[in-house]
Amino acid sequence: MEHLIEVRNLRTEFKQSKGILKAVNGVSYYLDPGEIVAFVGESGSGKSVTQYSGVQLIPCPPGKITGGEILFEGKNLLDYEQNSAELQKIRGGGIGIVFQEPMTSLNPVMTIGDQLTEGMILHLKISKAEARARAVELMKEVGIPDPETRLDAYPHQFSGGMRQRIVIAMALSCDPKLLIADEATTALDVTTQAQILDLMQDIVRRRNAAMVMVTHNLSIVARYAQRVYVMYAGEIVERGSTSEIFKNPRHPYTIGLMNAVPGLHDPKDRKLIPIAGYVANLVDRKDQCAFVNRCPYATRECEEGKEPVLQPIPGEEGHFAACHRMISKESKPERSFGDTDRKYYKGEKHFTEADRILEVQDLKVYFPVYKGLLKKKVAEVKAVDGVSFDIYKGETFGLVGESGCGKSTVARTVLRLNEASGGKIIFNGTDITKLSDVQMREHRRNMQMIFQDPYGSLDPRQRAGDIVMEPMKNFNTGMSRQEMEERVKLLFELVSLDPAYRERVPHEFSGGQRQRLVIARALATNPQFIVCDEAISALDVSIQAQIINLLEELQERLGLTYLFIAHDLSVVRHISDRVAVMYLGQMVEFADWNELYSNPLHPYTKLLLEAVPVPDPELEKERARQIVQGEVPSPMKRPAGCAFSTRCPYATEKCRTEMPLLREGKNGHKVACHIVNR
Amino acid sequence: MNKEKKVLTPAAERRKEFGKAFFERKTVRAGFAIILIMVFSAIFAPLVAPYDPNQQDLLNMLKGPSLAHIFGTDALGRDLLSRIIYGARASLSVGLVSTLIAGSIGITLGLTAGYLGKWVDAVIMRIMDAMMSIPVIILALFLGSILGKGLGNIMLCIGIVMMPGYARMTRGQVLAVKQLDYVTAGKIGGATRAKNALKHILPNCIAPNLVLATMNLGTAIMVEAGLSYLGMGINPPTASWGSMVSDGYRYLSNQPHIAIIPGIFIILTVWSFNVCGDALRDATDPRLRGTR
Repeated sequence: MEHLIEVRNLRTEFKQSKGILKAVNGVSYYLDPGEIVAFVGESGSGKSVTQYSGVQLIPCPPGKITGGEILFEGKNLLDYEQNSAELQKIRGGGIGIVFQEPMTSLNPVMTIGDQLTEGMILHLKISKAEARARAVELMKEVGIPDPETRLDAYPHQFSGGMRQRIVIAMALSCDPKLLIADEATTALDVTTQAQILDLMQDIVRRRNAAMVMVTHNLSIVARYAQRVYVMYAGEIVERGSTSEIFKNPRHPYTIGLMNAVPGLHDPKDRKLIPIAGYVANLVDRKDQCAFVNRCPYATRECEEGKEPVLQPIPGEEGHFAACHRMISKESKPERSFGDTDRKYYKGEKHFTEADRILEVQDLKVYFPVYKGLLKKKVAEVKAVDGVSFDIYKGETFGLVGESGCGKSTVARTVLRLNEASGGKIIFNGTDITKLSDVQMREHRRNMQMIFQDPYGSLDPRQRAGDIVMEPMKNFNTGMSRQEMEERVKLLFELVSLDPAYRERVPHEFSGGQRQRLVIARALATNPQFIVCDEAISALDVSIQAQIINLLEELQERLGLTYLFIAHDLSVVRHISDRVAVMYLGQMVEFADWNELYSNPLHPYTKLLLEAVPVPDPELEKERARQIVQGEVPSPMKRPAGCAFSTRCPYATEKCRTEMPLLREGKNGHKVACHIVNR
Repeated sequence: MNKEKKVLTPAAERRKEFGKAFFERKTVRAGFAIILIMVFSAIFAPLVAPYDPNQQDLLNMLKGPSLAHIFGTDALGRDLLSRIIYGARASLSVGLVSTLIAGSIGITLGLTAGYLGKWVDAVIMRIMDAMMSIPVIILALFLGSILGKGLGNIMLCIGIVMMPGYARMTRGQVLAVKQLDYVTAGKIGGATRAKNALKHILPNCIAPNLVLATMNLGTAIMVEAGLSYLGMGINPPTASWGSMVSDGYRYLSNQPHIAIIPGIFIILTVWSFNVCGDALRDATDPRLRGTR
């Protein structure tokens, strides 16, 4: 049977100053109509380059497709020139692409309508009016309300989720047979992600098109894909049906990826096992298994042998793995790269009043909105509106919610990076809400922060050693130069960085190493309390596991307290002792982790948890799932009653008019909902 | 020979690394050599120049290049080579010092405006806007008439005229950089406002100013020529490249070398500083470390 697209032995190389980088090294795959196929791998695995090579969207030079065939509906796309008319027709027409970043994949100075119709007029040779009518249809199909008027809006007038819908509409505009979604939902919230992926799945089924899902998120794969290709170092290392790959992964890399991600239903004492080491240098690669340096199952044969090829797994149709050893999940590793048990996790923690380190009382943060020539204050954005919580020494306090719910604002205000408009912040018994900059500095040494983006949070011109030493100098610790040098060395070792790297600049570190550096800096003054604002969201899964383990180890060894902010509910569940859920500047639910995840009460929490996919296809099929509709309203237009009433499936008249209060129930479980608190 | 590997201190290591990165390209080496030669011959002009630059020789007016006068002579029979060597003193010092004045004041103002914001920003930037709205030469004439003649005053005057460009550029950079997480990290790490501004913001705003400075160097030399032409600059007969170009301009049709040769030196200077400026920017760019 002929496949919709069949790629055979594709090779793409990039010319670099140090040699030739084989980014795609003999990749073969196919897709049939109606299929959703996932490409999984960490950054640098070549999964995106593979897809872009197919439509020749890689920059040439330095890139070059050096071999292979790409048969799309029987025609070899590599026979066409990169800028040929035939290929342009296929790119806009036969193959549609949805990019990762909805903020940058739309042209900000063109209306949505113009951008949508542009391709149709070009490819389908239809009139402007026809194209417009079609655009309205498409906007309806992707779920944009009021399409006729919204067509004349500009991209900035839409939210991130809506923009991604528009990008999908554009990709669909010429009836593509194949849709490529390159990390299409990575930048979105869980709820929006679920909405968008459901939409795409629906469209693929309805149109009998095929979809390639490029992602690093195994949970999404488990929920949506029928088949999976696992990529590592520019090669496919395992392929098979989703259920088989998850049930019986046969390549050490696939197993490694699965061990590194937390799931919503894991036992709490499960340790995340990161994949050790780094991707081998792909420049001038040897004829050897590329994963051998990180593989716990590797033997001497693997080190000495040639590069393994994909071999069928006996008894499982369509399941192939490129491994000499044909291991399975039960195989015993040949070598160990560290502990496999969660030795720093000490079970439930109990606190007394004396352990209280941070007390936030009725915190309010309002940002003024100015308008007009005279900059008159016309309104206030209530980013945080009456949030109270306590944090105790040695615990990890998780804070979750969709973007725009005010969780980062809470964190920044606690650190006094924003001014509070009302309420109190009491740290170590001192009210720090109104302290001056100078007075505040004395407390700063005890409260530090780990940022989301390890690229932006380090001064590119500072040497690693100086970065870590700076807080020691700033806070007049009274240490001599020698002592500070010693401490820098100690801190480097604490976060598992080689102290010999002190002379390097941030650019010379990988993402994970940078985050370690950020942690070392945060620890420089021996703080008690650390805010982790999405500290692991920007990292690859195996690096994520490393950093989570490191944070946990440091907490136990140094007695640290964390305020852990993340939108990934599985990670928060894994690391937190107590968890608070925020919505539109207010706390809607709060309980210890077990209570919250096993018995969520607030409809918002329930829907959030249902939106999170779990990395297990069997479990995914059984899960009852209701996807929360709509988006977080702007804080400027807060609903009169319960903030969630506009999206809540259970909302009553009372919810729409009266604001519910946070009330405590059993086991210290607090919830703000009229229906639960009846 | 037995080469022993010396253990360098970190500071020495950094210097070595910087030197290697800076001189990596051939053009930079050439440009740097040209600058060195020009500066040295300007300093030791009496030893290097074959003639007195102001010695008129009316019998040898407007002569083309010959063995006696390598670059020929001008309308008053003065040796062009000697005038170029002496002229380098005025031109290079005007170019360098006025750029330095413009850069240091402009960057300081831009940093202050961008970092403090609010009314400080408004006041500083409106003054800069006002200065930018007046044509360079007219503003320079105005300032010159207040400050008076003399080399020092010309440098100051040209420096002030060129300052708004740096202020604008720096302010824009500061506004972008001060949003970044590492500036927040500095604050959390106990850095005072002043320290944060000087240590984390300023160094990350310099690169585009460096490019602007190398381009402004040529402009400064030409503005000086313009001022001299209008009688506000260096008093004749003291040579400067700019005034030599404007003097030679009159003989462009029959003796073009009189204007072209000093022109070539201006271009050469600007080019040399340009490549060196680019190399300096790249050598100090940490993102390019390890890619060379």
